[in-house]
Amino acid sequence: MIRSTALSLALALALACGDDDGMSLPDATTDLDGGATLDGGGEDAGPPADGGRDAGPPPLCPTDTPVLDAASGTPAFAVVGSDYTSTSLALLGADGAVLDEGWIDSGTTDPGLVSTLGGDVVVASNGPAGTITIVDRFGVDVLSRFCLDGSLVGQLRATAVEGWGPNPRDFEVVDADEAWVSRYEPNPAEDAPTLERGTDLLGVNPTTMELDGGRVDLTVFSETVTGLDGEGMETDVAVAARPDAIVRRGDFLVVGLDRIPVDLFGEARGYGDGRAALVDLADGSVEPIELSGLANCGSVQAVPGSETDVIVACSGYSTMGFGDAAGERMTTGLVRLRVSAEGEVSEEQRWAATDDDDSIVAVGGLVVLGEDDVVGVAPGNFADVNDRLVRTNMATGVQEVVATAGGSFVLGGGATDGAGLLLVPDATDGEAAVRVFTVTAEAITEGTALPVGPTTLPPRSIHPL
Amino acid sequence: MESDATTDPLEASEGTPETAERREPPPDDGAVATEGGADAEPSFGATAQIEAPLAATNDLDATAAGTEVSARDRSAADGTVQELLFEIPGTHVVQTGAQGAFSSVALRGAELGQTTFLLGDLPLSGPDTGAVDLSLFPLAAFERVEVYRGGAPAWLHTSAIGGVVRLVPRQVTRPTLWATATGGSFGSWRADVGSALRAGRTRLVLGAGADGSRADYPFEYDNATRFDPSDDETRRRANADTLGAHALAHLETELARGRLSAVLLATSRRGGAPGAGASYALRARRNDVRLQGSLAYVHRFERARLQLAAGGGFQRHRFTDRYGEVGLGRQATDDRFGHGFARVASVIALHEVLDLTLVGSARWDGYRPENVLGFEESDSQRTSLAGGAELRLHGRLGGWRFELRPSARLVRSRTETHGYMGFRGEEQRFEQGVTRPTFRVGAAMSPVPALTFTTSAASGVRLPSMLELFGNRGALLPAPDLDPETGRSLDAGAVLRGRAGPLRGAAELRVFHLALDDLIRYRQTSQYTAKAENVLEASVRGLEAGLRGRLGPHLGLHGALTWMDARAPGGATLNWRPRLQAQVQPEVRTGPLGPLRDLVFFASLIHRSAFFQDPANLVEVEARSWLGAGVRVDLACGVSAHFTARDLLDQRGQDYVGFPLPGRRFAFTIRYRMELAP
Repeated sequence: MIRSTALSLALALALACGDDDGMSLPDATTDLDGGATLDGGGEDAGPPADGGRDAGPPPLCPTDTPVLDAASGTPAFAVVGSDYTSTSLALLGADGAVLDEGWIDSGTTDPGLVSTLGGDVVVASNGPAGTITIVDRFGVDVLSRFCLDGSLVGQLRATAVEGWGPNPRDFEVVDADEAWVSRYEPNPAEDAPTLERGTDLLGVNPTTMELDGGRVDLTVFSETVTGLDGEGMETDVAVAARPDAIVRRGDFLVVGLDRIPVDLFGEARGYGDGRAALVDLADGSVEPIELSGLANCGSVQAVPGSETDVIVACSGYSTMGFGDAAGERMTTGLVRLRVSAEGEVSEEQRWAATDDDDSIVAVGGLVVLGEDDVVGVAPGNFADVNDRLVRTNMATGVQEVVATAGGSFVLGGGATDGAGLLLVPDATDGEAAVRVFTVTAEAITEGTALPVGPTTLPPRSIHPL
Repeated sequence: MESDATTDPLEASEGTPETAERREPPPDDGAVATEGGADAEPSFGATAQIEAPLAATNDLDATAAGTEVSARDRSAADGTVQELLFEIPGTHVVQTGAQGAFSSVALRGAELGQTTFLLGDLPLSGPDTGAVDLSLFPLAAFERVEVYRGGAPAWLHTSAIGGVVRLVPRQVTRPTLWATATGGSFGSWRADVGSALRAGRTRLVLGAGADGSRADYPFEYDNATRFDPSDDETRRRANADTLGAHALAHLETELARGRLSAVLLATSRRGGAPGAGASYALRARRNDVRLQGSLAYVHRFERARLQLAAGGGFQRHRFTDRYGEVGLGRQATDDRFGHGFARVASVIALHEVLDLTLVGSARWDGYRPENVLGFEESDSQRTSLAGGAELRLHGRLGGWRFELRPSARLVRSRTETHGYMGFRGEEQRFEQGVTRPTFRVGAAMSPVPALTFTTSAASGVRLPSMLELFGNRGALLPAPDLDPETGRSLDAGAVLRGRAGPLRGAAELRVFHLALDDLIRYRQTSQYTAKAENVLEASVRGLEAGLRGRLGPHLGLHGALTWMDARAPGGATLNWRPRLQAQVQPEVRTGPLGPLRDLVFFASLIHRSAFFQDPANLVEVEARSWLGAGVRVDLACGVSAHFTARDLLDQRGQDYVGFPLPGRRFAFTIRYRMELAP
């Protein structure tokens, strides 16, 4: 019991890691399909985009199920604080001011078979204004969508079968009737029903938070590769597609893929060459996006101010073992892709860690400031190097250390408003806070840090609302 | 009030074999009475000067916070070791399911792994076994259970932070044969047979049994959606079935000036591993086999006793989860543990008021893990040498009897492992040596024979496990510089024991404080790895009270209460520590009634207050109270029938979020006991 307790606690710590990327607030032009915009005040009552609609569906918010206190003011950011056992969600205003220290947390309801929030929680990347979708991942597998007035839209468990944890990673709302959740894990049961096989995008009605029967199978990106076994000998390794972040570009979805072993904690190590998936919303078809020479490319973010571009962050993978920084460096990089209206994908810019032996690997916790302008976290080594926040120009390769933390694996994924405000969570022991930066083309300068949430649950990630 | 025990002071400082010899069969209320003279078989005309021992709730050390409860002749059907532990103050029993599910005990707010378990004098646990699973040990194999909170008696030779749980193997009091059969809710059953035989100066207990359960009890399933009750339903626990067996042999034989004893206990259990309730595992399985044995010889000198003992054990634990259902990845483990130990102990009467106890031991632990589907951990081993000494000063000061026991112990442990660590192709060797002293000072003062005031201070250590030190070549990294966890305890209290007219029994009340340092926790070191570190300290203060008594031949009562306030720095309440735990069981006996030898009615109440599941004190697990009742019928022909209902109000509850407990359940036991000719 103790061995399994120790291992499960360690794995929960490890999987609820700082790889949750920073985000940008949705661009004002990034409206949902169909001309309807979901915001806190209800849908856009303007003329419909197509000719056949009525006045539009009733506003989503508020619903008939008040479960939380209404959010104070107009939240613009959500801060996830966690010790990997329990979690608290704070809300910040557009200027970074704290509106609610703990709008929802692990103790909001009495525990049943799970607590209200587990230890591996993120906020979905691109949600409509006025709502927030919380993804409770490893070990819980539940998506919870709330209106910011505190009413519940619905809760969805990302599986209907027992004995398998799909580990949902992201939730992308297309319109009032369509949304997709990425499921990271393959279901090892050979007799699993089609809808429960994992390694896919699962279709959800975001208004009711119920499955709509849709599924985009991404197992085409799973394969067997040559890797290394525990003794360093070559062996076949089954890698799973492992879909992670989802970003919508026009009528398409760009899905990041990690492509690492099916058995994450087995002895064999191997990886599939870097790839993302392009999903056509019209028919659900899937095309590969090649990112050769890179690995572990699950992170995707929209470029602020662009309707076509995304940046994919590949954190690299080493067949030698966990923590082999030198090995991981060989396949680490950033790629800016452009998706045309017809679904043609072009690689516009690439930055690889191998371009310069002296470059700093800072692709974790990525925040996209602009085209080819990113801020990421270079993790410390628990010895003589602490976490660093690094600004990278993908085009020129110029890097700047913006800030340093007081420990290792304490800086998390931040967020920006796209107008010069950058927020970065820092979980350093005794100094946990949201660090505030002002961003210009020339420099990033740090302001006064904000203590946010309970001191026992340091901030781990920040998400725009 | 009269004290109800007399003991030779030299005998009183010794271990179990001698004191056990002098016990009368325990009364049905479970209270342990100590009787006896100076020696097992005095010669004709011999005289002995005896003096009443200090009133205590254990025979080993009156200055220790130790409580003994008999495991025999209990009124409830289908009793378990964990259920018995609820009757002892200072204990916090945790359970994860029904019959056969993991269960363990923490003492005085310490961690689960900071309790040492002994089978007689044979260690059952060590730094690498973690919390011992009590469900593996059948109550039928034991004579009694002793629990020492805080500093344990020097004779037990341990430096446990929380304390010691000692399972005393079943002993011969009268030659008997017995058989029991039990059936109960959710497909649970047990069957035991045994014999207690005496031939001349040799006594032999043999016992064997089997048990099983479907454990398909109902629980409330919420689909992990805490805000949406529309998908809630009642389900049956799946894949929680168990099947187990045990065998015990306990031999004691008197030699010219000594006694030889041997104990052998074998247990096995296999069954399902259902995992956490929200996403339970349907195919994960576990299989556990243990064999423990010891051989001891005690030789009596004029003013000393010398014990030589050796023993060991083997454990094989297999866990199969080919689909990764439990959430730790695919696993097919076959881990083997072995340990051997040798011990020399002596009690020397230096003076009529001064005894010296010396104990030395050597222990070897080996761990050979195997995981067909995951990381193959390296073999590792640990060798430990320990020595301890205790002075026992006793006598009278004015009209008060007193006892003072200062002791010290030193343990030296060397742990090593080798194998492929870090990156592939590199074989590395890790080793760690640690030497730690611990101490204990206990004092007792008795103004009258029935009342004793006690106080003690002690320190303890928990050595890091091999897993914590060397990792598992995967997600858990090596941390060979890890320090042992340490604890310092302080307690004071009083024991009242004796009889006054029709009233007899024992009561104890103590306050305690436990300071914990360098607690080991895992911290993330990279995206997929973690490492053990000494990061936490904590403080526990509390009160414990226990009562066992009878009023005349018809009324009995036993109860225990533990209140504690456990805090981390900054004031947060330590998780998994309920502030209050209480148990009470009143009992009414009719005595002979027509064809019945006895008819017993009892009720029981176990209450556990709410506690926090998480270190951040957000998730509060609600309080629960289990109400039970039962009846026992003893017939004149040696047959007794027991019927027990547990959790009558169907409170259920959970000790760990995600592991629902069974609710209302019933059990029926038929026991046959035949006394043989002496």
